[in-house]
Amino acid sequence: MSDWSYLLARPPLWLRTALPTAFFAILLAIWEAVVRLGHVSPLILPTPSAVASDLWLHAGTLLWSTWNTFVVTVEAFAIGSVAGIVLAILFSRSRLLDLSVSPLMVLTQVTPTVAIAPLVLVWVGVDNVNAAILILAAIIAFFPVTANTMMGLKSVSHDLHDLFTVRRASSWQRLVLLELPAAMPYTLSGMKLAGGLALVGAVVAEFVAGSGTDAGLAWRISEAANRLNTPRMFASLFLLGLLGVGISGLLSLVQYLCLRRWHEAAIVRDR
Amino acid sequence: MPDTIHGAGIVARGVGKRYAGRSVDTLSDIDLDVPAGAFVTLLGPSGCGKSTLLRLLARLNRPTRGRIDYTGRAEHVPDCALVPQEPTLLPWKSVFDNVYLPLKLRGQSKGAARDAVFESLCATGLQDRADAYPRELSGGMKMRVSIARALVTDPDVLLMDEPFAALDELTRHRLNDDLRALYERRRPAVVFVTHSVEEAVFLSTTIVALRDGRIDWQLPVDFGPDRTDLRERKDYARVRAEVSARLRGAWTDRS
Ligand SMILES: Nc1ncnc2c1ncn2[C@@H]1O[C@H](COP(=O)(O)OP(=O)(O)O)[C@@H](O)[C@H]1O
Ligand SMILES: [Mg+2]
Repeated sequence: MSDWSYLLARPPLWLRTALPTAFFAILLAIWEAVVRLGHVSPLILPTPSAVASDLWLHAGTLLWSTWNTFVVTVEAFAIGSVAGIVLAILFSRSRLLDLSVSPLMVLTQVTPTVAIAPLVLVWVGVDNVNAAILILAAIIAFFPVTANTMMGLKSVSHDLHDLFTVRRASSWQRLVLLELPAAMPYTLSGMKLAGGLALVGAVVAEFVAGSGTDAGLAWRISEAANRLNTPRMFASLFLLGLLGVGISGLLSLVQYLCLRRWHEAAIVRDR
Repeated sequence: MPDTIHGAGIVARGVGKRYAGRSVDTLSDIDLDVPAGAFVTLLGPSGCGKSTLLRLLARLNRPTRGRIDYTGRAEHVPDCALVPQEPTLLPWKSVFDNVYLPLKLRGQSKGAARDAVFESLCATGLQDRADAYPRELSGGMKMRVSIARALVTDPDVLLMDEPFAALDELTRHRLNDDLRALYERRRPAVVFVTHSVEEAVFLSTTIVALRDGRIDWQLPVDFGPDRTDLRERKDYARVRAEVSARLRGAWTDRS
């Protein structure tokens, strides 16, 4: 008994994998049973097996859509990250720029993306929907990178700045050898948030855009919804979830690899 | 390189410092000579202005009044190195790369800097830890890296702000011994801030006592270059007693 509570206090990896897997399996079994016993209409809630068979039968289309959503997300993430870091550097160099532009930047963040989406679509052109989706996703993704990187650039200790001053470092050397590396834990934590947000942005933008796209997962979902094809909806959602977990896991791995030589405390906790 | 006295020293005349927004001077009427090759200790209680003076000497801040000049070797700007109280290392760089940093800032390639870096690492007893990362080192070891980094350019002037204050006594003794030996080998002008009488007497050629932002008194310490068994010597105990008495303001020229 005490062994068991000890295990729970410090769960090894197998336990942390086994427990949620078991829970998910039980959930699926109950779900399957409830629907099969006729308590819920399969039109509203398809059985897990129906979802699985839809996934299997239409794997080609669904994986293609997953790939499309993945590509847009990665592109938006990359654009957002680079733009985020560049903006943070510019703001940290120029107080004037920071004071003038930051409030406007915050405005783009507090305005819900769904509301900006139609405008961006009109601007970029309805025949250019993929670009519009990319822009929207990037607009959501860049912000945490900028905010975190700015915090990180300011986090450098005075002593280290003094050291660079006494050694007559140029401001370029100071940026590249001191400030940017010191900001890296913050930037990486911002990029982790950006990864998730880029996916949200890609999906939301695709919903708003409707057709005319390369058909990502969001399009599959709304198409399936119009036809009341609930198994397809669940299959798409499942893939979307996997995509989110995959992106987040990948970024955590990158964060770990980049920072493992630092002290553990260097990993900025996600807020 | 050994046994040569570097060409640079520092001369401060009439230096005063008032921080913005403060109504009193942190430093006033400072006349200080740090000749080439001297080991000057700034001694005094916390808050008397030691760090402020050191930062002025390092040209990290400007004096409000007076002037500070680097002397000697007119053909080049004297090379100045700083060892802060905390061993501020770059946590993302190995010991080797941390020590290499000042040379990198001068545009030297890693290959060209290799010998100088290793010489500095050996001199501070770090030759086996070149590949370690700061988080793997003890406080004393980190301070050694900080010193190795300062020495790697063979500086004319070495400025140290209570570098050993946070260390335990045994480690501090060992580092004091090593610092003494390094100083004798390379003879930079050293300005060393401390609030420890023992450390000041053991290390310096001149002790400068600060009180309330002014130089209270100065005392030459002439134990000579070889101070290996100095801590056991009677004259060391006598000078320590004198310095302590002077600090208390209880010293009269009777002995
Ligand atoms: N940047 C600063 N701005 C304003 N006051 C300061 C600053 N740095 C130090 N002081 C003040 O100057 C005095 C001397 O400080 P400091 O030089 O650090 O003394 P010490 O190093 O001898 O302990 C203190 O009263 C301190 O509060
Ligand atoms: Mg101080």
